[in-house]
This record gives sequence, structure tokens and C-alpha cells, in this order.
Amino acid sequence: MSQTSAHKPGAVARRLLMLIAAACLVVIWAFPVVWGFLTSLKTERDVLAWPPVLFFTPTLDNYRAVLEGNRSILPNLWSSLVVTTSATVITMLFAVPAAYAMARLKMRFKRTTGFYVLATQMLPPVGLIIPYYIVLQKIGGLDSYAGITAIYLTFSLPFAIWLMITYFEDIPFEMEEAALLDRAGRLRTLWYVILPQVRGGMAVTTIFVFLNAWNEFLFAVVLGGNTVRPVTVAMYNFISVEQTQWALLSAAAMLAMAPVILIGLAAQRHIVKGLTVGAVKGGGRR
Amino acid sequence: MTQPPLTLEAQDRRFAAWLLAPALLVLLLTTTAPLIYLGWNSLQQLNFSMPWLRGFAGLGNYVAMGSDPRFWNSLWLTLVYTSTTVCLQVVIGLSFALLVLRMPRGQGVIRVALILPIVLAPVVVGLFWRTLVLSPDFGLVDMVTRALGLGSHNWLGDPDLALISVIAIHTWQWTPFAFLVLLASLATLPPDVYEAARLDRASAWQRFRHITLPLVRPAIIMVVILRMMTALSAFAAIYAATGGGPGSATEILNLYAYRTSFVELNLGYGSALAMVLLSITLGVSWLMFRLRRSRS
Amino acid sequence: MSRSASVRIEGAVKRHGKTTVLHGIDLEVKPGEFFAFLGPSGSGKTTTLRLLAGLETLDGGRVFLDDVDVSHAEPGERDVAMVFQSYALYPHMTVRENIAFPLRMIREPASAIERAVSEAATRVGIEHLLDRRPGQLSGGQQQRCALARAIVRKPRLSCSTNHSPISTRNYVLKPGPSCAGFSARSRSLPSM
Repeated sequence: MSQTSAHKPGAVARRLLMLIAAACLVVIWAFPVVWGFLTSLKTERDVLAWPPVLFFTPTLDNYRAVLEGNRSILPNLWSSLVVTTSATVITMLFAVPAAYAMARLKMRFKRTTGFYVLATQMLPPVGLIIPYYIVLQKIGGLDSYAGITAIYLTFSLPFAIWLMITYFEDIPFEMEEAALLDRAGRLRTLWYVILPQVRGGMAVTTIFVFLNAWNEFLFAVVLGGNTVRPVTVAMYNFISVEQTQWALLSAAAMLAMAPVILIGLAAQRHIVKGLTVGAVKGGGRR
Repeated sequence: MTQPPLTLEAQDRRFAAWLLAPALLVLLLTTTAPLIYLGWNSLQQLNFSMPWLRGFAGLGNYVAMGSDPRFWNSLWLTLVYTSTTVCLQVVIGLSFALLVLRMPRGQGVIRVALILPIVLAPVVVGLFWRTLVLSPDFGLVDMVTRALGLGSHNWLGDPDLALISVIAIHTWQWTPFAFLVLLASLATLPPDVYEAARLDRASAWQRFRHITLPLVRPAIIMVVILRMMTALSAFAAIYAATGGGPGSATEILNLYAYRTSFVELNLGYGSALAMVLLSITLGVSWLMFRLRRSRS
Repeated sequence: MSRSASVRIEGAVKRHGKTTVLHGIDLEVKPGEFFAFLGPSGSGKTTTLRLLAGLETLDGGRVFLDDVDVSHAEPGERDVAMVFQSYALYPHMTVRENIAFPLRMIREPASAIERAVSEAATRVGIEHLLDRRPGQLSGGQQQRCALARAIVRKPRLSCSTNHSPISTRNYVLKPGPSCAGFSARSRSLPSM
């Protein structure tokens, strides 16, 4: 955008507008999270003070209360970890070969399978939770890791397949032909030649699958129980009909979201790229 | 002569089948089978709170739906919720993207700020807004309105305000997605087209309408599709913020089906409701799919 | 000890959808010969080479290598090498690993691989680039790397669908704007 000196006042106004817009963005979307973090460091009394206390002595009591003792969410963090990791690993194991098959190899019914995978991605979760509940209740599979992981696959698998397809499609066909001529065979071609090239894509996909699984609520609250109780459900420990324990809730929320926030910050470039890639080439849950 | 070995294409197909089969099997088992069962249940009378009422109901559940005001309310709310939030997300996202597009520095800070809402769990966002932001007297919003002399309101407890609040929550969480995608799309637009338009004495609005908008349209369509899917199946945030209430003020079809099935334990009717939502979702996604293909 | 490599195509027919690309061509190449196709684009030069390599299947006719009917043989089984138009180098491997790949796939011992790789690299003049990645090479160097990978296992037939001149110190393949060439060599290098 070239600016001549004759446009100087317009340029200044434009720059100002830009800065205001940027400031709005940061304030509107980052401030609530920051506010929540600050709340987690306040005593319950400071939280409810009016006018709001800007300077306060921070305390780690909330975090301690949320991690130790009988209100500890540590078992919930563990529950989340088990469910999320199993769902992610199983998803990637199944999705990567499937995506390769759909992206690269000539297949009959390619279009139908493509639409099938896309359609399963779009299913409303409430439509799945009802039959799962009925069945699991009959066979006594409620509150089991196997049942929960199975239903987690319903949103992870199609999404992972779809995203990985976009990455596989970027590899030129001649690469495989060269490998075949080099006597690699199809399986070794996949392992030695193709997969190393989609490492980045696999990392991004894994991140998204992990995030989605960690944040899942509906499936966890309906099909879980006392054994399987991810952090998303554990938030409700701090809310009761009488009162909300604000500071404790904030601390618990911060801990529950810590892995997800850390991954988000660390991999932000990749996530943004993944969002835009997925958005341009195909559907996605997020 | 013996049968010649499989052709290259046939071998390819067999290899592909082996790679794809496990995933397809898992998908069939975990999604398609349950959905068939859902459909079957929607034709049943199945009420865990009245277990003696069992039996085949045929289309009875669907007929009952037709005269159920709560159902029509939920349909209406779903429509309003989905269309409003998606429009807001696109408009706000696009506006901010246009404003910030040429910023030389600070895009990193913005990215960090915006990635947070996207990675947070919707249930946490819902709870968060319910407590810290929208609480009467102590929430952020109320503090602001009180300071501005606009008084204190029950943002989530007031039937008139609840829907607005809930839409605000969803919009807050997902606008960054629209923003980031549209920003990326805008960044790929060729600058020389604008130079040419400038030389042709096109105003800023004309440049936007005739150059930017058409070029960015594919990205907008994609964003609309994705965001619509999310809005149709939005659950956790609304559940956390209002639970569907007060009364049925924020009870979109999603939540109505949930409440019917797991609070009132009428799983037969709940299944039917879920089937309707499923049809709507599939219909919309099919429409969108066709729309995308016809344009590209 | 040199092996002869002869090529014979009889009545090869190839269709792409509704269009017939090859209408039943016959071809014979004696061992040690260099053969080049010249012709306008779309005339079927690349298709013929891909049929020889086994990357396309015949819709009719037969292909013989060394008097053996390989019409339905897998690409890997024919002992044919190819330099692709885009070179198709493996970007995540070094030049050394690229050249070594075909030998690794037939499970040659490491010492033999080491020797063959440096021999091939020296032959095309990129022995100083062995630890680089394809992305770090110039176009000409990439071409030579692809060439080295093609000749390292001393195939009985090597093809090139390059449309630009390939020249190395010891190897010269025909240049030309519309040219696809292949050489059916005897086992002794480097004579062309």
C-alpha cells in the first residue's frame, strides 16, 4: 500500500484505526482469560469486592485447595489424560492409513466414501449420545474407559482423516512411482517415502485431535461416572445451587485448561495454519 | 495360459482397501450403527421414568412433535441462534481482519490473544461467562453497566436477555476462528489488482465490494459452513451458562433433545427429536457441500 | 561380464478414458542401443516409457524385456530405472540416502551400498554434494542426483522423461525440446 506525502493525514488516521482495532481484539478476547487468571489468585473476599480490587495480594491457596485434599481435581486430570491420550493414539493409528488410501490410491467408490467420512463428521453429538447411553447401560459399560474412548472416536476419526487427506494430497504422485521403481513396494513406500513428508501434518492433526478430546464435555458427563470423570466435568464440583466458589472455580479452570493453553501457545503458528488449511480444503469440527 | 497377475490398478485398489478398512469399520461401528439404533428408538415408546410404558410407537413420537410448542420453540431458537452467531462471526471477523491486515507489527500478539478462546473448552467458556462475566453485581459486564449508570441486570436469568447472552458467548468463542481464516485469505490477495483499481479511481467501498469480496468469498463460504455446523450442535457452553433456561428461553433443539432424554428420561421422544436435528444437520451440510462444489 | 538387454514392444495399445493414446505400436531396441523419441506433446512418448517401466498397464499388446513377457510385471520387478520429469527426489533424505535407496530396498549390504553410491555420484559429478538435501541443490544438480539414483543399481533399462538436456562428464543423453529417451545398455558402464 503505497503512501504519498499528499495522503499523510489519511495515513495517520488509518494507522490509528488499525491500532484501535488491534487493541480491541486483544482486550475483548484475551482479557477475560487474564481476568480469570487474576481471579484464581484472589481470596474469595477480594473477588466479591466492589469496586473491583485492582491491587491485591495474590495467594496460591485456591490452587492448593484444588490440588490437595478431598476436593482435588488431580484424579480428574488423570482421567482426562487417559481418555484423551487413548482416543488420540487410536485415532491417528486408524486415520493416517485411511487418509492415505483416500488421497493417493485409485479407489472405487472414492466419492461415496469421501462423503461418508464428511457426513460422520457433521453428526450432532446429541444424536449419538442417546443410543450410546442406552446400549452401554444395558451392557453395564457406563463409566468405563472403553465406552468413552469409543464415542470419542466418533468425532476424532473423521476429522483426522479429513485433515490428513489434505496433507497427503500435497505430495507429488511421481514420488510414489519413483519408490515403486526403486523396488520399495507399497507398504515400504508409505513408510519410508510418504510418511516422513507428512510429519508436520501429522503433528498438527494430533494437536487438534488432542484438543478436541480434552475439551469434550457432553459425552463425558453422560457416559462417565465416578471412575471416568474428566476435568471438564469436574468443574461442576465448585458450583452448587447455593453459591459459586469463584476463586476456586477459576483456579480449577486454569488448571484444567493449562495443557490446552500451553499447547495452543506453543503451537500457535501450526494451529492457525491447520485451521486455514482445513477450512480451505474441507470440513472440520473446529 | 494361467490367469495374469493383478494389474497395477487392481493392486492399488486392494492395498487401499486394506488401509481403509479398519477405519471404515470403526466408523461404521461407532457412528452408523448407533444412528440406526437411534432411528429405531425414535419409533419406540421408551421412558425410563415410566418403564411400564414400552412398545412400538411407530410415528407416534413424530406426530406428538408436531403439536409440541416446546419443539417449535426449540426449532425457532435454533434458527435464531445459528444464523445470528454465524452472521456476527463473519461480519466481526471480516471487519477486524480488514482493519488489521496491513499492520506491520503486532500480528503475533493478536494471534496469541485470539488463539485462547479457540482452544478453551466450551464448557469452561460457558461456566466462565456465567460466573465472571455475566453474574449480576460481580460480573465484568455488570460492573461496566453499573459504572455507566445502566444498572444491573440478570443477564442469564432474564428470559429476554438470556438468548442474547448465550449468542454473545458463542460468538465470543468462535469469532477468532473466522478472523484468522479470513485474515489468511485476505493476505493472499494480489496487491496489483488493487493498484489497478486505484488507478481506475475506485473508492475504498467499491474496491471492497468488487475486488475483495468476490475474491474472499470462497473463504467466507467455508467459514460459514464450518461455523454453522458448530452452532447447530453447540451444547456445552449453553448448558454451562443457562442449562437451556430460564424455562425454555435458550433451549435450542440440541438441548431440548438432551433434556428430554436425560432429565425427563423420555428417551423415545428424545430420540425422535435427535433424529430431526440430525436430518437438519445432514440437510444443511449436503446443501453446503453442493454449494461449495458448484462454485469451485 | 555384461548382460544384454533387449526391448521389444508388440502392438501396444493404451487408452486414457475414451481417447486412444497408443494405437498398437511396435518397437525393437537391441542391447546397447540408445533410443530417443521425438515428437510433439501428446504423441504418446511419455506413455510409452511409462508402459515400459510398468507404471501404466497395457490395454492390448505385449512388452518384452530380454525376451521375457513383462506386460503384467510390477514396476519393481522389471529392473527398469527412470529419471522423472520432476526428478521425484525424496526431499526428506540426503543425496546420499536418495541414491542409496534402491539398493537399500533390495537389501544390499551396507559396504556394497557405500561403494556403489560414491561410484554413481562420482560418475555424474555430485560426489561433493552427498550430504545435502535435494532442496539445497540447483536444478542441474537435482537432475544429476536423479540420474545417479537411476544408474546406481545398474538397471538393464533406464528411461528418462526429461525434456531438457542431461549431460554429465561420462553420460550424455540426447537433448531436445520434445524428447523422451531411454537407453538399453549392456551391463558395462559407462559407454553409451
